[in-house]
Amino acid sequence: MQGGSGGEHPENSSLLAFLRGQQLEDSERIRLHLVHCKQCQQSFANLSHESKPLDILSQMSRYQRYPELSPALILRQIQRGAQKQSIWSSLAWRTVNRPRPKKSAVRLVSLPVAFGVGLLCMTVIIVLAYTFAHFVSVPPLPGVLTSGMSDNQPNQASVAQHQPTPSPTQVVMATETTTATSTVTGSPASTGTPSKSHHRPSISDCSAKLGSAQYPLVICGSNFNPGDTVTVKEYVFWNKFETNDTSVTVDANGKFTDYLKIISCKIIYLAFIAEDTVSNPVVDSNTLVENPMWGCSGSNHLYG
Amino acid sequence: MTDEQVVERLRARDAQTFCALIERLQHPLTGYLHRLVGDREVALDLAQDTFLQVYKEIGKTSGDLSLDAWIYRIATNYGLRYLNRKRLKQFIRLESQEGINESLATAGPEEQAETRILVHQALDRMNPKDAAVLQLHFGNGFNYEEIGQILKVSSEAVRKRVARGVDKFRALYGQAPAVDTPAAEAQLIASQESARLGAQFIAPGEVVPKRDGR
Repeated sequence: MQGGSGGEHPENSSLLAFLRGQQLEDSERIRLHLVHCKQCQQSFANLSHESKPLDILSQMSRYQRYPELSPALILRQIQRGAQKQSIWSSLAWRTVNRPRPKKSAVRLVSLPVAFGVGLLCMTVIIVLAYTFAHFVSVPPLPGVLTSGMSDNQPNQASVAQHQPTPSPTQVVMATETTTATSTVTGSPASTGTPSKSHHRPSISDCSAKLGSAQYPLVICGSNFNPGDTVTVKEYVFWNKFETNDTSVTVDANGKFTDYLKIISCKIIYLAFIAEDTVSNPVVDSNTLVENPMWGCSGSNHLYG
Repeated sequence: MTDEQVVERLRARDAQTFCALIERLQHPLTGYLHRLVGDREVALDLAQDTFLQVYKEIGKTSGDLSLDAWIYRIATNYGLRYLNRKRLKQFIRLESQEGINESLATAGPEEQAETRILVHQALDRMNPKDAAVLQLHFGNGFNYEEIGQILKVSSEAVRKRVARGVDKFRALYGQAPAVDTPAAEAQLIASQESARLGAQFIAPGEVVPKRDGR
């Protein structure tokens, strides 16, 4: 770039160096150029103005006072291998112990962070509780048959358990060879607890609770597959040993009620068993065996 | 005693020479570090570390060592390392920068307190290397050749770096001060109060003729 005096304009860095009194190879040329070039005079003035606040740095150095560094202490630290007490360790100490005003950003972030942490803790607690509940075995409810129970054991609790209100919706008449009339009840509105699929189907004697003069013998089933058709087998002795089958439909709760009418006091009921023939393989219930007290005159208790 | 003699004695682990060196350099060196890092206590620690390093490393230097330049190089490296870590910490923690160290605001006539704060704020927002060059030249009075020895660069490079630093400083000094902490705000208010009492200031944006009166 050519100046008005014919020479090249010096760079700003050269002008600044000239302004600061630095040794330059072309100091004389710059000085002469400045005499004639108004543009460079203006640049020179601007640089002087812009750098003038920095002169205060040299004034500051005159006013700064510091405690004397102890050469003896430094030498002692050297002898001790004072690298351990470096700037970073002392800074760490000072950083921890320095009282700081709480930053607005920290204040802003702290509430959502606290809420998030609380939410996370609650989630963890819920997950742990859910996991714990699934891995701890729940003791069986009274009256519910377990798979390990013998068919021939008395099941008074089971009898007490199944006491649905009889609301006959379906009546299945026995065949001519049948010695009893069955009234099958499906009770969708049953208040009983829905059966668990993993419990074994069972039958029990509900006669004491549901029996009536017309239907003194009542067989209750539970833990069957809802909607399945179950065959209740009656093992009887009436002059000879006979087997009568009655089909009943399991309600939505996995239960059924089989009402039996005794048509002759000469019939001796030996046992009952229910088979879910729809299931593959066929699922058998427990067996209700004859109760010596059962009969036309006695209470028809059966052991299941 | 020449530099060469001092270096020879230091290499011989002469404690008296080392003490004399500390007495001669501790104030300008600590002041330089103070202005560079903006923290008086840190500057004292860094100065002490610098002299420790001098004592430990003097035996590894060559014979034609420029002693003061070498010591300032060590101090500059310590200061820049500290600033880099500090800025990294501030970035990680998303913290705002701390206020101006009070000792810098009071290092001089009261009427120039605001200027000192503004100058330091501008330098604090610059690249630390550029700020170090300006501190060495304007604060400690090193010429370009000496700064070249300290930073291990040529005088030409120093000339360009000083010009670049002044250019950046001008841009930052003209901006509104970053008063983002209560401490800095309080210092600024105190400075403005003292200004109303009749002090003269080098205010940013003023034109040269108006400022010639000081």
